[in-house]
Amino acid sequence: MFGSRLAILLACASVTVGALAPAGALAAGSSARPATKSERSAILKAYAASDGNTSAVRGVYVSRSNQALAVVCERTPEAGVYASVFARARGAWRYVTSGAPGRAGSSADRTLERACG
Amino acid sequence: MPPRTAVPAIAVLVAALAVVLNAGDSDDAPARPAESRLSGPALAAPVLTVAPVVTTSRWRVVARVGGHPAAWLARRRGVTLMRFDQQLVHVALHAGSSDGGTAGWSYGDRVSAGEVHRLIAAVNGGFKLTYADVGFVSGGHVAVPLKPGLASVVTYTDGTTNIGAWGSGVPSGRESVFSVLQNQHLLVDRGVAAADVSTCVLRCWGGTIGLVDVVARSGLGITAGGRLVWAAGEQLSPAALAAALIDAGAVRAVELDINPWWVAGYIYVHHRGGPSPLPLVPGQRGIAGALLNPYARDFLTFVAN
Repeated sequence: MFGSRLAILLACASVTVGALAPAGALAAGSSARPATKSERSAILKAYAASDGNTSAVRGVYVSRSNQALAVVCERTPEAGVYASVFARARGAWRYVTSGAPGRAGSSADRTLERACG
Repeated sequence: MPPRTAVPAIAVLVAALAVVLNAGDSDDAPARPAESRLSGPALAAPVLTVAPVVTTSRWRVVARVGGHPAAWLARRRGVTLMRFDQQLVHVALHAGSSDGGTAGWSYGDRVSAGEVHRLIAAVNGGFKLTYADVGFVSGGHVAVPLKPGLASVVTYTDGTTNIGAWGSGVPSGRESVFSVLQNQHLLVDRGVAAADVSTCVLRCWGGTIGLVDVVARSGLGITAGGRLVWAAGEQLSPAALAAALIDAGAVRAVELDINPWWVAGYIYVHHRGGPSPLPLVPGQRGIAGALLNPYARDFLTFVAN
């Protein structure tokens, strides 16, 4: 009885947290976190320098296991979601790879790309 | 704007028209001489555009104007090609809301009401206007001053368009210029690819995402007979783009924009409620609103005369 009530309470709490959490946090999952404001600014600067379309960006996430790896998530009008991976070296973010989430680059890149959903 | 004859409201398309239109499929028939193209009669007939059911390496008619084939589509070795008869179709150079800004343009950041019912296709324009070796002028309004020697898409006030190096080939001294889009130097000249097309990719033909040579690219050429040929693909080197344009008959060509976000084209199927855009390049990321809504970048429309 207590167990079932606890389960209901936990379910309600889960729903509430889910409803309140930012969409980005949900998409990021456990392997990535939303970029901080300064990280996002620096990563998007690198993205624009790579001729990317910043108006299409729907999220920027940083790997939890490697703070020097980030992904820019774009929603395209006709080609679905795209993920562009950037790596930080000597203080600057640089383009690594891009493609459909989970399909481009190294194993670590592909794991991070899944934050785009 | 180019003073072309206005056309009555567009006819409603039905699927059966595809059969009629495809009956006119052909390889590249001899183009009309430039003289007759420039002095051709103004047509006052509806535009009829259909979606290509299957795109093949052979040219297929995708639009007719007044019953005459006006635009063809083909796909060869990963390159989407579209060809236009300038006796039936003219080009309009549009400024984008960022590339050029929203004020002062005859052709602004979306397809205009005057074009929408005669619209056959629309494609991306050139590099961002903040980049080097670009120029943009339209209707006497200057976004970026023209520079001698740059590859130029020149549209005259009679509605015809030519492509060449500014100051040495274009403009014609006989005609009045309405708009000019400049981008880099000629990718194709006298039917031959530029000498540096394989040896100077990033510096001469634009920086790419990841600094790779093979990326989304687009270009616009003109045949000896005056037809315009647009080419685009998601995985092209400058050499491959030039080769595709030459193979399609281009004797001069300009590279248009590059990189995945900026290469896109649409053909428009017309219905009673207005045109429906269909993407032209397989895998293109696309432009929100398909150029019927405001767009930040400059672009080109191909409109029935």
